[in-house]
Amino acid sequence: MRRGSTFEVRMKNEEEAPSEPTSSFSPRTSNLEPRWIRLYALVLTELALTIAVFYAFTKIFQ
Amino acid sequence: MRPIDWAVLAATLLAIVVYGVWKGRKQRELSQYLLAGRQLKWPTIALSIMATQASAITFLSTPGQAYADGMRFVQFYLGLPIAMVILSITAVPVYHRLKVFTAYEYLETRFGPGTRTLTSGLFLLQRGLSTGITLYAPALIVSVILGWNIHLTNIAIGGLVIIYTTMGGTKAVSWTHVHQMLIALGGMAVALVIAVRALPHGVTMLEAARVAGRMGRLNAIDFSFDFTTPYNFWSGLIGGLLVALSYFGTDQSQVQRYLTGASVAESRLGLLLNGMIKVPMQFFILFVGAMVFVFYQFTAPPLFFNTVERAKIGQSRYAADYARLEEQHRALFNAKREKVQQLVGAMRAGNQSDVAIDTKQLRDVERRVAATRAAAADLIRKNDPKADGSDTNYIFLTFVIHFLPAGVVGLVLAAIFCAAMSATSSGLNSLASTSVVDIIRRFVWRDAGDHAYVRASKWMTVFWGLFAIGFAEFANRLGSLIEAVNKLGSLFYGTILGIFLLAFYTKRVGGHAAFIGALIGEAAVAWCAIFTNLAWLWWNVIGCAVGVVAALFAQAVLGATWPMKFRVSPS
Repeated sequence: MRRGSTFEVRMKNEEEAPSEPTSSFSPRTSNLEPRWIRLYALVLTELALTIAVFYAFTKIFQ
Repeated sequence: MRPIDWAVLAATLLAIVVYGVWKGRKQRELSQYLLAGRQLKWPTIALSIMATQASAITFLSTPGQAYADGMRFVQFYLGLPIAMVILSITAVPVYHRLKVFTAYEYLETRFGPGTRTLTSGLFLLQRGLSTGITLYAPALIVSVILGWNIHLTNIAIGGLVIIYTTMGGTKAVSWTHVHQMLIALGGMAVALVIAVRALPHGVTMLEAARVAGRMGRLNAIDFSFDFTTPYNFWSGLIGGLLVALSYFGTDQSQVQRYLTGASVAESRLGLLLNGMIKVPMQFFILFVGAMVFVFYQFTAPPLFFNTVERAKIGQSRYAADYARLEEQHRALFNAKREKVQQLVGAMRAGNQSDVAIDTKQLRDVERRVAATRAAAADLIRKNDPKADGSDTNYIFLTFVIHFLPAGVVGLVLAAIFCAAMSATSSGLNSLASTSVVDIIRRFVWRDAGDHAYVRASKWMTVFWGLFAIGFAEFANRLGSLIEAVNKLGSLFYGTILGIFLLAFYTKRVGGHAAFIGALIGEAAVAWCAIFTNLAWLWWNVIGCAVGVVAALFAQAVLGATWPMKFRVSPS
């Protein structure tokens, strides 16, 4: 298998494909702006509260 | 089923199919057909993600799980919101930037075609089989209710899904998901209200919950740590997190849902909304099952809910033994009903000592009921070793058809069918995408135009639909369906996740090392599944951990002779 064939496949999907393999280390993907951090915190806080409520629910009704 | 039930059911299913075909018309480009033109907004994405995961199995088997085992199954989903956050930060921007059609396309840019082909192959195997199970669930409903031939039922339901998924592509799939999800949740809400209102002696929902709790059915959180029990807080949080990371981050049936987003923000918001709603939703469905359990404390349930197996044993040489067990079960039910009534009376009177005594006696009777049910299941298996000894999947169905009023039966059945169609359509849609993008376009038919690939996608949708229908014939021996699907996924999820973790979070591991790591990880999972009694949620942890460590080790030992990266360059 020729390595260049990978690039061909990707070029079919995107005209301006990045020239390097992409990983989460790329600075362009470190999407941790404040508004997103607040939203992630909201999701995790809701999970923590849900677990607390479920635990209370289990204890109260057992 | 009365005529009005048939009318509600038929009108709902027909409307979904027509709407799907209409919504997905005029699509000629591959990105339109497979990714809805990348134009969807976050509410549609969120509901589509939820509808993909919530199959008929969710609405059929989960309440039965709560009836038989309590609500501890909800812990399986505790890792899901964390996974949504991780994927929003890592996977979503990468997939969007590369504008990939499938998750496995990304792997080629990192590890080369071998790893891409291995993961897409594992996906095709696992998703092809589990779509068959997804299709089987509603076929089971109709065959039990009407005595229809299950083969013909599979074909009928599968055929409807094939029609609108093939004609409408991803756009049809995503938009029908919105309506299917709302219908499914509406149907379950109606079932809950009716189950509570049908309780005798003016028993309120709060009293019903207290009875269910004292009988061990509201055990939502269990902090005890045990590698051999599938559902506790730790296995849910750790194993569930890995399952969710793998399922939502690497399983094309889910990745395809958020690849349809108009932007990174739309896809992220869709995932995060799913993270916020999913756990409460599962809790709600399990709670419906707990209320059905309380309902059957006042109304005599059958000894075994599977009517087909019941009929078979009634005509076998064990008929007399089974009849004795039924008599014993009836006597125990009467004793239990009396105890439940006493318990409710003691609760109303606020007499705590009586509540404690009644609870203890009730639990004793419940243990004897469980033993009687287990004896019946043993007898059924003794009569026919191939028989399905689990009746979990039939419990909610039995309640629906016998105790819900005319019209509502049709609505709940429509809800279950909608859920089945939503999950099946996502499965077929993603199987077709992976087959065409990762196999056909990559290796077989490389320079055909969009029109040809769209046509190939349609044919692959039909092929996988027929494959799923074929596998559905074998699904009746897999025990609890919800568990069967997740067990099947857990055979592969850990390994696939390991590969993606290496791709996303390491720079030093090359394609050969990742490939070897994946093979060793999969071998470790197979060893655990065959030779140990390790609970299946932990298979995900083993597959992922062994795969990652093996790949790192292989790269460290042989790295000098193998490339670190699969570098892409124009040919």
